[in-house]
Amino acid sequence: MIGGAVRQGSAPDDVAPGDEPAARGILPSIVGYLIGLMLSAGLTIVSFYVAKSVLVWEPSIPIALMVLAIAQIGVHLVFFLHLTSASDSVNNILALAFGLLIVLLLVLGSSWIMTHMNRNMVPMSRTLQAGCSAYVGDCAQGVRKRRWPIHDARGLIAIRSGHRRTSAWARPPRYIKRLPA
Amino acid sequence: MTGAQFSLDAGPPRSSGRSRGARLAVDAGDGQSRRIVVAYGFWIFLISDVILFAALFATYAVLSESTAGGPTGRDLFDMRTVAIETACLLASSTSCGIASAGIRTGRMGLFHGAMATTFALGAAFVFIEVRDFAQAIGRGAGPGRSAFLSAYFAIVGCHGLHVFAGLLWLSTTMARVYAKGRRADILRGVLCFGLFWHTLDIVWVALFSLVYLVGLAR
Repeated sequence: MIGGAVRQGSAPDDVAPGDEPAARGILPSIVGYLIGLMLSAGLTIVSFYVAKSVLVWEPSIPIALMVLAIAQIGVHLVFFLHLTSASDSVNNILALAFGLLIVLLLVLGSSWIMTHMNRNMVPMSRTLQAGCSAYVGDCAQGVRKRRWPIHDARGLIAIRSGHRRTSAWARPPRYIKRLPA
Repeated sequence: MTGAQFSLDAGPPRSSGRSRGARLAVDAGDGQSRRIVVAYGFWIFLISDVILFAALFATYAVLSESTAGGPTGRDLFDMRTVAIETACLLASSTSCGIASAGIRTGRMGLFHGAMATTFALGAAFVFIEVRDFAQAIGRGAGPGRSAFLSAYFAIVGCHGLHVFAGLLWLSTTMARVYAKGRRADILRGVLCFGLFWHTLDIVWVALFSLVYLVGLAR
């Protein structure tokens, strides 16, 4: 690239993202797009089939869908956006790789942390069940002991029952009166 | 980024015979290097847009179980609608590519025809999605019903708004090409629009797989 300063006036070293080689004729270009269409349509059909299929072990379906989506995104990048591993589009690839890193950190990091916090919380069903008793007084749906609402990580009101408070964080907000035992 | 760009920062001219002014003219002109710089800048913008969608995906992943006793994805999503929407966007992405191939090789009839097809398919997508949203809200499954639905409407609605904005951009691009022909700045606009449209399709691939199909499979 630095060499470009010496041989100015020649063709640039890079290719614009999304650009095809200028020499490519109309027919090969259209055929390329149609191949991309076929491949992604095939992957889409497989995805829709897998989502409803009984042939796939059920817990693995989300993983399978994820893999198929990544494959299809790859097809789009190659056949529609013409990304290649050639040295003339290395800038485009690097920008994309950095974006991908941020995307992975965001999605995997959020899911990881929030699932972990979630696991330490009262299950949703019990939260809802007990939620009314905290406010109404006695819904009495299996509520026996003293409970108090706390805010869980999702901003929802949860009820922690029975066990001892272990931290100040689990202390009930001041505006909520404790229920009688 | 390009050789000519680099030389601007590289201090006084080297052993080459050309003057600095001549090289500046190359950079400010409408040549290939300008096309690369503009498209690359837009590429970086698109990647930041994808990061925005990733944040919405993370939100959805966290909240997708929090239905608060309301409808789940299984109750709400319709596989046929999603399949039609997917077909619309995929076909429109292909015709957008054919349009850019048309304008690159100077076939203006092909360009305008393919762009019009892209517009029709994109409009069909937006129409189906708006109808879907209206139905869900009519059934009491609006974004206020549960955290899951808030996240769902946020991410799918954000994508729908992008497609709508893309339709507006598409029509102005067609008008500009029609009025001004294959000028360098017009061609740059077409290239950026193509990048935008293909990126929206990529986001939709993640959306229909991870929101709709995972929701239906659950």
